[in-house]
Amino acid sequence: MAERPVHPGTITYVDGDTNAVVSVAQAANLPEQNAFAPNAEGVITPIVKVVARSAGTARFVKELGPNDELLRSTTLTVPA
Amino acid sequence: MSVLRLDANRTFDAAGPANAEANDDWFAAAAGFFERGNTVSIAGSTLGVEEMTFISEAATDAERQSRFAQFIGNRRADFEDFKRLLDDVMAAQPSVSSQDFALSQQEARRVGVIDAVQPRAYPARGRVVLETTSSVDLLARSISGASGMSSFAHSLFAAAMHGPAPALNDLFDRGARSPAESLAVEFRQWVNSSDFRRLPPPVREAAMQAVAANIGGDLGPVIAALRANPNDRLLSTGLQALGSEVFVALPDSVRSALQGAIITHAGRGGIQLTLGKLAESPAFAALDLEQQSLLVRYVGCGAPEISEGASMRLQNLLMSTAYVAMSNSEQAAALAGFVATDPPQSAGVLRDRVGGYDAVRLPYTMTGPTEVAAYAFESHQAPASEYIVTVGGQTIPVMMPNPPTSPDGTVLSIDVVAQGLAALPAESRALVTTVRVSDRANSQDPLWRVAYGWSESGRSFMTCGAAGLIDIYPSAPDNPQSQSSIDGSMIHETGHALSSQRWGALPQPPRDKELSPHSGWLRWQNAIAADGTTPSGYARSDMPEDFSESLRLLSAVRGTPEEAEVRALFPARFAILDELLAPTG
Repeated sequence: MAERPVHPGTITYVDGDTNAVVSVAQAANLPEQNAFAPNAEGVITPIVKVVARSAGTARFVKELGPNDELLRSTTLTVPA
Repeated sequence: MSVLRLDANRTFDAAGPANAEANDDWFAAAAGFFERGNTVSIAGSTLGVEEMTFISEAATDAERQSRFAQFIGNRRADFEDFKRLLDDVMAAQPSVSSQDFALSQQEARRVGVIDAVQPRAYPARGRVVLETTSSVDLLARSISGASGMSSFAHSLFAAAMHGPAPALNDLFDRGARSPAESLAVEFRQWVNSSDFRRLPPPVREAAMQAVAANIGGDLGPVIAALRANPNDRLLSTGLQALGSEVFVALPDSVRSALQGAIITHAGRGGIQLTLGKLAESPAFAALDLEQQSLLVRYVGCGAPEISEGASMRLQNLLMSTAYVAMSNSEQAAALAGFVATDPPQSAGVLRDRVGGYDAVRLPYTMTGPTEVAAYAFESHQAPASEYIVTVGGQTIPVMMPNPPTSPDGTVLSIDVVAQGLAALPAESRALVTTVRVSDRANSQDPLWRVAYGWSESGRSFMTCGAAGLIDIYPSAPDNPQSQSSIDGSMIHETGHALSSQRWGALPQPPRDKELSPHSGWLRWQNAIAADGTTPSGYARSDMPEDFSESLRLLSAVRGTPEEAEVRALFPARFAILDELLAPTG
């Protein structure tokens, strides 16, 4: 991974269905690929917020940067 | 007795002159009419002073009739009808104001009887197109006798088949409605009657062809549908509702949409009946235009996955004891509530199906593999096989694990991945830089399980980075992903990259800031409101999800028979997507 910036410190996990904060993690305790991701321009950016939503047997997670910019979006499957 | 009246104050004896002597007088009178520069067009031929002189100079009345028939193309013609009409035109002109005449002409033109006014000596004078086809008239009369068609319907039918005087007379006498509307309603009722269905097929066919050719407007599709589905009684029943007073009073756009929806759903009786109930419901008529339009779109959308569910829910409402006991205003409120709170979703369209995205899938080529000793997958470095997939002129590296097996589940094959890339909208695919197919689960999965309290069973399937890197993880052995599911996920996830690259970041809800007037997200927000529909249940969660689900829906129906109807359900959103996906350059 390219040179990375300083992380603000925490990653907030939000339940997107209720907009409630469910957990907060210290970025320093996480592997680099779990605390940083490239933005749309490819610049390594701190992940500061994760928002998860549910839809039937699927879950959707978005990892966001300091300005709510989308860094990654993931589809998860849950067996019915 | 049939009378012709172009002017409210004058009638004419339809029996007309009965002998050659009377005809001599008539030709003498007619000569003056033509000498003043008037013309009459009959069956496409224009009759002026020269032609009338040619006809009137014949030695006998029989010869005159023969010349007249020859003049109009040897068609069997009712000379007496022609004389009656012309006589009336000649006599009525002085007393017909230009306004009255213009109205009559306009109304008559709508049923194809009078073609155009060609003023010469007087502004109020016109050129009258008269098609007297006795064989057609005979057919009309035989239908009338066989089917019990009312005399009025017969007259209208005769008018539709270019019949002259009797039809004109009835049309002008009708008064309450425009002749075209009267004709349409009358004909619909007749076509939907048991009398009509008992007619021999050739007669029905002839009748429908004649009316389709001559009424024009919106009746043609009705007739085409009836012709294509001659035994579909539910179609007839649904169309029967279009003859109701309630339907006739609806706005044009709603009438057109209702009619189109009933026709579209030929063979799907439940929906036709629901639409028919709406067409004759005073409560539906009491809704505003937007509510009416949306309700018809919900129930009438041609994609059965959408409209059947909507129809069923609406039918349940319409037939419920509580609804039936309501007043009209209460029923209108219930329908408005249905529109506002129970918009059907297109989840059925998005449901995985065999070949779900084949209509949009492009051909692709693939080269490789090239072995890579240590490649950086999402969570680890490992040997990889690099393939180059070429779709639409774009080359995309796809990194597969080597060997393509996984302790964590089933690794997608390179072919499945390539097919997924080939199904992406071109603008989404253009954002994809690399696909990494890992033999390991997403390294985020354990963290998210802890953060959200999720069970072990859920796992990441696909990630799309904002910069266009796609990661695909092994599927659980007991939860394999279909090609359609892979296609849909790839479209959805790359859709997020597309929207965020084009329109920028969207603050997470709850949003207290107003969107910029120039923001693409504001346009999308307005489109959601304008459409009033939702592409899936999940799309309701937030605007970016709505965007990705709409993109997925558009891809699912593009190039399929369902596309037009689904487009009608999402016109505002699809208009934006069409702009985004339009080829550039």
